[in-house]
Amino acid sequence: MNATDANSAVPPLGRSLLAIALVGIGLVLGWALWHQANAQASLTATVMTELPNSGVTNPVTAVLLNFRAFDTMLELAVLLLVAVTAGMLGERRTAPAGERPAETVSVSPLLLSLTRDLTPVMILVSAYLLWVGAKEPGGAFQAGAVLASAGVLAHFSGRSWRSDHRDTSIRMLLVLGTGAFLISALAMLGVTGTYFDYPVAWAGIWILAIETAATLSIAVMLYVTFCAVMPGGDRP
Amino acid sequence: MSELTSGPALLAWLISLPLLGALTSIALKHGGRWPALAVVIANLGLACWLLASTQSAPLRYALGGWEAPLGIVLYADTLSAMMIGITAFVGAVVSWYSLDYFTRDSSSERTFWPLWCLLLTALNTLFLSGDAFNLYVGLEILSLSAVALVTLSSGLEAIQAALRYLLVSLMGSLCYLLGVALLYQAYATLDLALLAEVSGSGMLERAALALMVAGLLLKTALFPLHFWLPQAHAGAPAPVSALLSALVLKATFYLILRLWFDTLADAATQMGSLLLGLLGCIAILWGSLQALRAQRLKQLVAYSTVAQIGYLFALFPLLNDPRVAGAAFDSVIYFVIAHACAKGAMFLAAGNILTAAGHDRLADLRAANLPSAITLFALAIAGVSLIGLPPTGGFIAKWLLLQSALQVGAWWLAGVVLLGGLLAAAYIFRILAVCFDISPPPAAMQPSSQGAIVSAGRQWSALILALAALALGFLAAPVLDLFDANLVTD
Repeated sequence: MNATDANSAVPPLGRSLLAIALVGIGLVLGWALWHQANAQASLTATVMTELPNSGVTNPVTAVLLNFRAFDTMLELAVLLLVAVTAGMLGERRTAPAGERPAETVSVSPLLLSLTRDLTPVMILVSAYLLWVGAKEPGGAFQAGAVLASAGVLAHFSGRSWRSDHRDTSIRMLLVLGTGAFLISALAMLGVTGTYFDYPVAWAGIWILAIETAATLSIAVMLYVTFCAVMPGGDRP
Repeated sequence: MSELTSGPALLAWLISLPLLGALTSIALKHGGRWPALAVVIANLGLACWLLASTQSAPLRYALGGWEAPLGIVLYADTLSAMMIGITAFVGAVVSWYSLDYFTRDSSSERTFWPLWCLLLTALNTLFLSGDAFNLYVGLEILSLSAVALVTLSSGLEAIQAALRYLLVSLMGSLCYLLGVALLYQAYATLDLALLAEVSGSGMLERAALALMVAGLLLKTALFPLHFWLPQAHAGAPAPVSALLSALVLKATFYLILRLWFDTLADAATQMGSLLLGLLGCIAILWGSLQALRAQRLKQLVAYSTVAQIGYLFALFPLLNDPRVAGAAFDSVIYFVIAHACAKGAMFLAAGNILTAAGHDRLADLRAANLPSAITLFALAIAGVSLIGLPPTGGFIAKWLLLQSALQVGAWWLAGVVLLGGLLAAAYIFRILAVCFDISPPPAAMQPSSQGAIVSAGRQWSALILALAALALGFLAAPVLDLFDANLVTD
């Protein structure tokens, strides 16, 4: 804490110079953009032309799960990386304090009943978001986030879900999403001869299956990361 | 069509295989090292195949069958193949070293293998992807896995270094992303080849190039932006330091090279090249001077990386000069691969010394508590390559640099390079002097001198990397032929 205070307090001159430099960069960028403002171009038309071949009718889902599915797979790998690292660091932090008695959490009955009532609703909302992603805004990331928040709610009401990343089932769920992407991409190499090239007739089903796996995985990854960061979050 | 898919599908496999290794390694509770090792070996085979296939023509592969403005295209020419090859080779040797480095089934060991596989995925993605946004995702995996690997070393200093590295990397990624956003806003495409065709030398391209290169320079640690490197590279576990210094910095350098001379070549100015060259020269001198002053062995090796990165950028003014561009490109690729081998060997050997002596304070190290001659031999050969003396890869790289610098009359550059060599000799001999110091260690050090025994695998892997740096000195002609086969220099 002291170090950051000292750092921020050091040079008023340096800070004003920095501010001037940043404003300068901002002006240059603004000018560059304004210079090109007439050349407005976008890929929307191309996406719309190819949309019937993608298996879904929501252009965002088509881009994320079909046209640029490779990007989405790597983005899931980023989340996985964060969950694994946070789990490792959390394990190291809680290791010496293992014998510390688990503090008794006093939870109001109101909170408990709220959790009990809300959790099924959240699971339902999550499933809806997943399903509707094919046609309207929604999809795996939103559905996974809602599902993970149900876990967070359970954690705060003292009835944590399992979150130990050393647990085999948790590890399987962690890799499920990225794995579904990768396996289907490689399977398509065998089926259609091209990596990530879904046959048009089956594209919708494939995308739903991948998104379901991704939803579960995203929820677990977010929840594991959350528990690793929470103090005393390693309780069984 | 069928004869085409067998070749280019290789590009998709080069990225999928390490990712598959990472996933299997995470899913397995124990023994995650075996899938990782299998992947590293298979990756080496694929890399050789890629080197062979790119000799006739560059490879191109549209993922999912969606062509460029809509989908993502993978692209490989001899430059990317060389980078993939050196990554696969150094990666394989470092994996062998890591087998004995981490305690079996410790949390660090279990986390190391998946992270290393993800790092390899990211490296291969960066070398192969032809899509600006896909490169951003690759950069994110690269930075995050690199940061996570630094945290494997317990201790407050390593965590602090990792946190600083994380913030710097995020800053760099955001700068890069802002540049990508500007380009997309103007041209509605993220494909590098299409951008190279349509982009001109307007204000917007210049701004985008400046942003992207600035972001990547932060990650490559060119002189004024190197402040995060010494702590992160010195604080990480030895195999991680080797990977970071030998490979991770080269990946972002490769992207700068691509953007500057290929994608946005029209927007890159002579002044910009000169500026990068000057910063490179300052980096050579500053890094070497700091290495001379370093108190610890790993710190010294890390500062030497700052200096060696300087050579890569010192070549920029020459790369822009049509008279010597060919020789300068050869020099760049030779610097990259020779430094990858030599610096990898150096960090692995430093790790052995750290284990054997229990510390790496140069003032307290004596010949008595060093590991066997194999490690010291590796250290000496790697050092000779870093100085740039014959008959090593480092010499060939410097020779090509000096030749092209003198040909265009850039005497100042030749002077800096020679001075850099002298300074490098000075700091390398600081290490070598320790090997011959038979005076008794300071009394306070006596109890801890009963250091651990360093396994044979760890010693030989360091030596193999050093011998590779030596072999590069003899094999200059065939290696450069591999590189020059079908290079498109504008």
